[in-house]
Amino acid sequence: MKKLQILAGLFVLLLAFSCESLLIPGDPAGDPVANFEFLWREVDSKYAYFEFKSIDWDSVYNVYRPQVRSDMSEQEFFDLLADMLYVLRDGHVNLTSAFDRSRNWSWYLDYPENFNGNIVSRNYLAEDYRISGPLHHQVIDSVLYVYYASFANEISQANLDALMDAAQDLKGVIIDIRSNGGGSSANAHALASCFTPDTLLYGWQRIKSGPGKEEFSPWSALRIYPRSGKRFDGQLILLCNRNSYSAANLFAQMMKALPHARLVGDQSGGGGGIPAFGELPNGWLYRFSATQTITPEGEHTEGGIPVDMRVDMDPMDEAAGIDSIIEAALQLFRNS
Amino acid sequence: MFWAQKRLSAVFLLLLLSGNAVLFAERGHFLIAQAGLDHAAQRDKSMSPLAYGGSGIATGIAYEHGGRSSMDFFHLSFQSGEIRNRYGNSCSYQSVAFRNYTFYPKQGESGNATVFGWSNINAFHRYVNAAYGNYADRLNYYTLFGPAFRYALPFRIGKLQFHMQLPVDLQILGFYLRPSYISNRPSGYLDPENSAFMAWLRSVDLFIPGRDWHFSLNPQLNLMLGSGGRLSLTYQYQFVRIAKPELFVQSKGTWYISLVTKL
Repeated sequence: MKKLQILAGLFVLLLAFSCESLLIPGDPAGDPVANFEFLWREVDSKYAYFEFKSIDWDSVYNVYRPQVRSDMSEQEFFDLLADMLYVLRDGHVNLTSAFDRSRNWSWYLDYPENFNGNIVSRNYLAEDYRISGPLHHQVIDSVLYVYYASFANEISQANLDALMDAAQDLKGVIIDIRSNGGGSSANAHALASCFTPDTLLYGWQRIKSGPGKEEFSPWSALRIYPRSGKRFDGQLILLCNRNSYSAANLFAQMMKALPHARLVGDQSGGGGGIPAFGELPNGWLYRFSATQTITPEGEHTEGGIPVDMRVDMDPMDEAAGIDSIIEAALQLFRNS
Repeated sequence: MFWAQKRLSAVFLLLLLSGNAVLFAERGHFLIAQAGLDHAAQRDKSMSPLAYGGSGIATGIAYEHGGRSSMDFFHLSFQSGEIRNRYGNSCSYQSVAFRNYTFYPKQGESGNATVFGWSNINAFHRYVNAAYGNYADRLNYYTLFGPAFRYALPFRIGKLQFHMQLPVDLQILGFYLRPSYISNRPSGYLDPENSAFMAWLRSVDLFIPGRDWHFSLNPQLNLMLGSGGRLSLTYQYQFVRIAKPELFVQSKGTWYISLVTKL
C-alpha cells in the first residue's frame, strides 16, 4: 500500500502541474544594460562585414555603452541602439519595436533617384501593357521592356513562359529593376534562368561559422541554372539604380556574369549579405548581415554592382516625360 | 488546462489509493494507436534568449510485445503545434520521434514488478520563427541510448481491472546534429567540398552525459478490456538539454489517449 501511495503521489505530481515550463530557466533581464550588452555581443560575434567596412566595433562599444542608463525611456533607449547600429552602414540592419524601426538608407538617399515611376507607367508601359504576374511588359521599338517592382513578388513558371513568348523574335529585352528593394533570391534565380543556355557561375558566398571576426564557412559557388522551358538567348539590358537592393543586387550580379547582358543606369545599391534575425531580451527584433557575397573575380557586392554604361536621368528629359535611362538602353539596341 | 489537470489528478489519486493489487500478465502482441495533446517549453539560444512555450496536437502508433524473457515497446510519434515567447512572437513546431524500450523481467515474474532494461530514442525537432525572414528554422536531431526501468502496478476497483506503469529512462550515450552558427544547416554541410558522408560526420556531436541531458518518464494508466486490449491514458514527459553549439533546453509533456489492441 505504501508503494502505491508513493507512486500515486508521483503520478499526481506530474498530473497536477504543468511542469513543462518549470524546468526552463526564466528569461534574462530586460533592462537597458542587459539589452545593450546582448545586442552589442550578437553583432560583435555574428556581423559579417567588420573587416570589409573597417569598423572597430570595440570603439563603438566605448562610445555608446557609457550612454546607457537604467532609467532610460524605451524611446531613448531605442534611439541609442539605432544610432549604434547606424554605424554599420548597412541596409540589412534594422532594430524593430512596436513603435519604430531603425534603418540606414544612406546607400540610396545619398545618390540621384534615377527613376520616375509615373513616367515609366504613363509613357513606356502605357495602357496596353501585359501583366504576367509581377512582370509588367511592353514592346517598344521591337524590344521587350519588362518592369519588375519587387523580388518579393513571386514569379511563376507560367509567368516566365508568357514573358519568353513575348520576347521571341524581338531585338532584345530590357529588364528594369530600378527601385526594386529586393525580396526572395528564388525569384532572382527563376528570372535569370530564362537568359542562360548553360549553368553559369556568378559568384561565391560564405556564412559566419563562429564568433571570430573572420570565422566563416568555406566559400560556396553561386550558379544560375538554365530553365528547362522556353528561354531567350538574345541581347539583354538591365536597368539599375542605387535603390536596386538585396535580391535585386543579387540579380544584377547574375546579369553581370551573362556574356550577352549589359547593365545600364547607376550601380545597384548593394546588400550582398543575407541578414540573420534575432530578438533582444526585451522582445525587440533585430537583423544584420551574416553572410558575404563576392563576384567570380573576388569583389564584394555589399557596395553594389557597377554598371557597364553609367546614365543618369536628365532633369530636362524628366520634365518632358522622358526616361533618359530607358532611352539610352533603346539606343543601344538601335545601334547594334 | 491547469484545472482540468488538477481534477484529473484527483480522480487518479482516488483510483490509486482505493485500488487492490491483482495479478496482471502482459504476454502477447499489442498494437497501440494514440492521439493527444502536446505541451512544450523551450529555449534555443541560437534563435533567441527568450523561452517559448505552447501547445499542439500529438499522434502516435506503437507495437508492444510481452514475452517470457523480455518485453519490447516500439513507439513512433508526431507532434505539431505553436509556441510563443512572452512578447507574443511565435514559432510553429513539428517533432517526429521513434523510441523503443526493452525490459527484462526476472524469470517467472509477470508485469507487476520493477523491471530493468534499456531504451533508445531517435528524434527530429523542427521549429520556424514567424518573425524571422531568413534563417528562421531550426532542426535538431538526436539518437540516444540509455538505461530504463519500469514499475508496473495492477489493481482492481470493483469489477474494473486497471494496470498502472511508470517507465523511466535516462539517456547516456549517443550523438546529435544541431544547426550551425547562423544557418540551420549543420556545420559539416556548409563546406561544398564535403561528401554527404563527410558532411554528416563533421556535423555530429557526441552526447556527453552531465553536459547534455535527456530523460523521460511516462506514467500510464490502463483500463483492461474484455477483449484483451486496453484503454490507456499516458503522460509522456521528456527533458532535453544540448549544450552545443549554443544551449538548447526543452521540456515537453504529451498527453495521450491510447487504444491498445491485442493481436
